[in-house]
Amino acid sequence: MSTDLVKTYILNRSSEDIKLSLIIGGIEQTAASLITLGEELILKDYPGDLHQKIIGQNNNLHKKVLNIVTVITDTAPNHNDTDLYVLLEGGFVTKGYKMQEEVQPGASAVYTVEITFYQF
Amino acid sequence: MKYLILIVLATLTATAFAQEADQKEIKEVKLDLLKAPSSPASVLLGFAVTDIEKPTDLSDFMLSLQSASSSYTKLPSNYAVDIAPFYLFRNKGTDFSTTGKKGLQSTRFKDYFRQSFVVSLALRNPDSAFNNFKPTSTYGALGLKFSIVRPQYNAETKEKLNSIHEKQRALLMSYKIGLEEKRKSARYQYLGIRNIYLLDSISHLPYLTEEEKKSHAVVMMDDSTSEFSKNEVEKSQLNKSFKEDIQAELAQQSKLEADLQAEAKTFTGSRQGLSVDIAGGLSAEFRDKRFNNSKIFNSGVWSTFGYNWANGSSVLGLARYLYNPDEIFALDNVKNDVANLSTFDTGLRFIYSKGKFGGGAEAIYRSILSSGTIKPSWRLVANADYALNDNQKIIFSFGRNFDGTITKNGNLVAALTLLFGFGTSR
Repeated sequence: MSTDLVKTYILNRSSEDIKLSLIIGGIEQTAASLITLGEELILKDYPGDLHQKIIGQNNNLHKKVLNIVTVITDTAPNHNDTDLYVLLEGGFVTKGYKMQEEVQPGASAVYTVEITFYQF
Repeated sequence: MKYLILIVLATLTATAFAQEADQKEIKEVKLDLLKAPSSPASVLLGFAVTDIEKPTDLSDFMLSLQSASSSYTKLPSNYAVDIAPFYLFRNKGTDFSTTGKKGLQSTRFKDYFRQSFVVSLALRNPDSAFNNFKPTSTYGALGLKFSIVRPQYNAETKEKLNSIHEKQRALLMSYKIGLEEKRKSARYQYLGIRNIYLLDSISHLPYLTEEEKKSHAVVMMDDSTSEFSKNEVEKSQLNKSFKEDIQAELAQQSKLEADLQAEAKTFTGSRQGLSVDIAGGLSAEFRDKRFNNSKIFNSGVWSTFGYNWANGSSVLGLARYLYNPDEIFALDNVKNDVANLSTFDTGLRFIYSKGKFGGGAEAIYRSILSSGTIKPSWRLVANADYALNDNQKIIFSFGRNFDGTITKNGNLVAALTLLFGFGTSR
């Protein structure tokens, strides 16, 4: 499975919040994420899971690009599996994307996510 | 003929892709994550390797299969499954990463309660009459387990996590800068602009409502053969190649990734301090192996508490109440009797682990609360385990069991158990 995701997220015509969640797997892995929205730095070196971070509203995200880089390092003593689940809520539909990679013991997987927002 | 060859090639290619896809699927369903079982259900059914369990080893799903020592030639007759339900619903806020604010380093009760919460199920099909187990019945148990006090990561673990995080920060910045630069490539920019154009085309369609336009866009996005989807896939592939270039450039400039790997490889997640676990459950006997003919076999609640040192050693205590309805017991010169027995166990266990080797000993004293005629009994077991590889472990246990309470003499327990753990992508 790929570690690179490029997707488009459809917005509503509303002022409702758009929320981003990043779920790190598997158990006992160590991760950090860097999130930008266009030129704006949203979160830098954020450790572990991110739950429902508001990154903007439906009305102000049109054609903006959200970029995420997440490094997951294998620190689990019992397995070498890494995975990243990206969840977007608040727009036309809730969307979840899962990526995963098995790495060598102690190695890191670098995940990239690019989400373009679009409002009709 | 040309068309025939094309059809054959297409079929073979499709088959090859299908096989590759199948192999990927098979690869994902693998055995891993072996740890000593922490299953309360198997304790109730009397086939747990140890009665006094270490603070829960985390696993989202673990399967334990056991055979009695006399029956290695056939399929296991005892099964236990542990499930961590909060891992299955991680998007609801339970963090299982090490450094997350609500992750495994958290000292908040709410966080480590969810992380340590395990539901276990066990099934026992006795080969022969043993204690109160009858070969004509099947026994099932449901158990729960969670931590109310969890030891913290020790100083060495915290230091290593800080160092790993620092290296991850440097890595993130390198990839961010590198990707921003490489994404300026004409092809990458074109693909993004082209997809916006495709969406704009739908947006400018007359006579369509907003909802209809959105639905059209979703159909286009979900269609893997559409130009839109192909553009997104190509951008993903470009990102992959950009990352490979950045990784190669980084390897030439510094040993950052190699150092990070060397450090992470030796991470053990050791903890130090007090631990208190609560466990309990209920088991049922299905007479004649029929699910419509059952009764409660036993039930209990217990606490395991103790201190865990940084070197992997632990001293743990046990306080356990068990209720056994309709227990049949034999006494000297008295005919068999049936009674509802309540027992209270107190115990002590020492555990030592280093690398692939683990060992220890446990002693438990059982008092009979509901009867003055039955003498107290005790259990003394030493066990050792060795991890053969990442997902196989041999466990050897040896000692005296409680059987004196129900039979006349103590029983020698010697069991060799092979355990497998199943994992998700744990």
